[in-house]
Amino acid sequence: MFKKLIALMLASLFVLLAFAACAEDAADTGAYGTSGTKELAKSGVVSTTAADVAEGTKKELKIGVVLIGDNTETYSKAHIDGIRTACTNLGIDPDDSSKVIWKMTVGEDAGCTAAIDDLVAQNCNLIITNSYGHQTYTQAAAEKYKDKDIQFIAMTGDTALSSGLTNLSNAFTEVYQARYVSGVVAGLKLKELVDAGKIADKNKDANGNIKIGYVGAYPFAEVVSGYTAFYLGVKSVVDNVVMSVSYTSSWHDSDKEAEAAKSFISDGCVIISQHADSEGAPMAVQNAYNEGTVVYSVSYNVDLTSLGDAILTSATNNWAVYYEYAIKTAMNGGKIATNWIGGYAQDAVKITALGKEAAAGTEAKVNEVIADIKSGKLHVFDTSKFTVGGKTVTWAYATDTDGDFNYDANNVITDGYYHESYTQSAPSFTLRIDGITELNTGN
Amino acid sequence: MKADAKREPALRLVKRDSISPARAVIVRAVAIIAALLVCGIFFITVTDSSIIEIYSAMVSGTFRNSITINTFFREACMLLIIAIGLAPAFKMSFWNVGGQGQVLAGGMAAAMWLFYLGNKLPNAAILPLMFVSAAIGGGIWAIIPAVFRVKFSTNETLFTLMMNYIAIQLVKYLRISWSPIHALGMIQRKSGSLPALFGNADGLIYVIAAVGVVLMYIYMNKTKQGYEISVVGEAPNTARYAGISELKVILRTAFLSGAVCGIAGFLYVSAIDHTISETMGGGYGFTAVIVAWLAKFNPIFMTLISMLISFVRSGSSEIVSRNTTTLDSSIANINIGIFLFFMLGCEFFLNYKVVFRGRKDAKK
Repeated sequence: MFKKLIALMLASLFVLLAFAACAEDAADTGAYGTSGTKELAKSGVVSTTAADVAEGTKKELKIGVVLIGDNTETYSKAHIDGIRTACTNLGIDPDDSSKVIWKMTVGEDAGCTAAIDDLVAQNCNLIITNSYGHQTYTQAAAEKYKDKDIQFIAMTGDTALSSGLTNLSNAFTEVYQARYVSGVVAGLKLKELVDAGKIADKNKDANGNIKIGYVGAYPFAEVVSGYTAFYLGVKSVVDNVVMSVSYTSSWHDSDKEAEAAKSFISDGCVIISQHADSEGAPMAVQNAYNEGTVVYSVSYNVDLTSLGDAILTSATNNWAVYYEYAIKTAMNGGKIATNWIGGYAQDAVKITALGKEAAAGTEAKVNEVIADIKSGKLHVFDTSKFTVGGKTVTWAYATDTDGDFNYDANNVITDGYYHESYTQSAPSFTLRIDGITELNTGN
Repeated sequence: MKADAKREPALRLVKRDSISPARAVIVRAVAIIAALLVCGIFFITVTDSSIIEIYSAMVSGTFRNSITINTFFREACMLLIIAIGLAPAFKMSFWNVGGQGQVLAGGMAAAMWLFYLGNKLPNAAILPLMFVSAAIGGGIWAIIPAVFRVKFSTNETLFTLMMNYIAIQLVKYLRISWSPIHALGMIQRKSGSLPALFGNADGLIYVIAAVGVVLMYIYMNKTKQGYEISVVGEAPNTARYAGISELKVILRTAFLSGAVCGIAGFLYVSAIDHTISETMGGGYGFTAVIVAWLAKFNPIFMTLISMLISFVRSGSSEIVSRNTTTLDSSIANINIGIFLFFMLGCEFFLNYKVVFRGRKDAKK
């Protein structure tokens, strides 16, 4: 009996292995090109703000919020603050549990389904999930409850359009713009250090380029887009700069982020930025700074200048802009845009207060750059400012139509720049440009 | 007399020979009421609500509408299925605390089919494959400690416990290796989802739980194999004398126990979660140990205790969602803990009685 069972199991194992082997097709190339052009895809995003929402038949709204973290975690804190501000502006008491129900520290697993089911059971008719990994569960819930009058929002997600569901929306900010501006702040500091002769040989690589580092969470488009924008911001001030990226494989892991930052510091990196949600890296930078190392931090999400003088600024989102739009739309019985995006023009992104050590004249330069971004004079992903494999990129796809995680449709390069967050709200930029080295794969 | 009383302790415990069924029911009822009171007092201290508001919130959170009622029964059924899986092993004095690992092992086996062939096979083919391999997966997870116990006399309590952690790490590994974007999310496939019964997506879970309870009752009480289990559990020497093969009974029962837990894993993957994660089942593998033990493997009691725990769970989460600025979801676990504490405590009073100094029956 047992022998038969074991034989059966082994047989099924072999079958599975065979399937697994077949599944590993060679990754298709052809996601971008360095010669020729392609027609620009159709834009799929809107940037309406609450001011433009038409008054309609008022609807009794009950909001359910599913958060990956809580007030102690900077990413979720930014969302909580945004929703609270939006609610207050619209006359909703965010602490009234008959109006807003908060579900904190909900994992990116079946717990998300349970949380959403519970919110539906409590008659919420606007349900927001704030993490990318919540998206598949939010989408499944939107499918399950499509006959009910409930709108779902998967923040930072990217499947609302392709799912074809009318009750599911995605939203993101053009935070890459704020990252670029924070890069300019870092670049100005770097220039000041160069002029003051404070850049030593160990701060440069073999070709004389100044080294900077970036602590990333995962190798997703969201992170790649962010660090590339930051790097281009630095490079717009100091041209001879190279950046290393280290992935931690977690959105929030204080120890790993600190460890990555320490490794950058010992390698001689002068500026360390991050796309990760703890204070691990900025703390490590501040500690090294206190011991006399020339190193500065540009952080993310929240103002960390209280940590000390090594903190220059943080790139951050002003989620209240979107939430006010979405909540007001739902209150007026309207349909929330499938893909929403907002940047400096909508006041949806910004950098936090400058630290004491920021270079003289930073404020004026920052305002100038922001004005140029708003007016469209400056494009963050200007294709004349970066190369891939030594060549200028002339076209790039931004949509994955067959679900293999490689882009295969919708060119977004035209007029000399990469249109980020153009076909959908989530960032799409995944080109690995020259000058940036990923130290690990994030697997 | 006085000197005599001094030597006697203030109170002592005397083992009961037996307790009348009516008395046993009263002791249990008192324990449940006391647990409810302590839960209520606990909530009063952490929220601004009155005790009436607390209890009405617990009831309305559980029975508000069809969604909450369905969740209540589904959670009770899942707990019950795992508990009936553990029962035969316990009856055999094989302390299987690896229910969680066996659920995960079954879930992994089921999810493997779903992940690789969910788009290629129709439901009629893939669901039986998922079901059978989940049962085999859970069974293997339980039979490994059983083999070591029979061959090398290892401690199965520790061994099954450690198997839980191996399963958890394997699930973490699979989530990363299966998913190109690290967070597996739902495994969205064309087939591999349990069909709805009477328009209820969880309908088949109820059927499986009900059939499982009946079958397990018959197996344990009316069959030769069930009899062998109790003989091996209660009197191994008698079993040997009677020619019952201890090896065969232990391996068979451990496999059965793990297989039923594995089926619970199948239900999580095909009907509830549609993915795997190390948090799958929310720790029911451990809670079910207490359910099975408390109920003395009596299926009716197991059903009632499962429903009670499910009620405390949904009631607590309702209070949490009314006070989200001050409370979080771990409150439900605290309350289940309070309940289990009282339930286990009342078992003590069913087996022992407290005798105070100077009382007449102390002299008996």
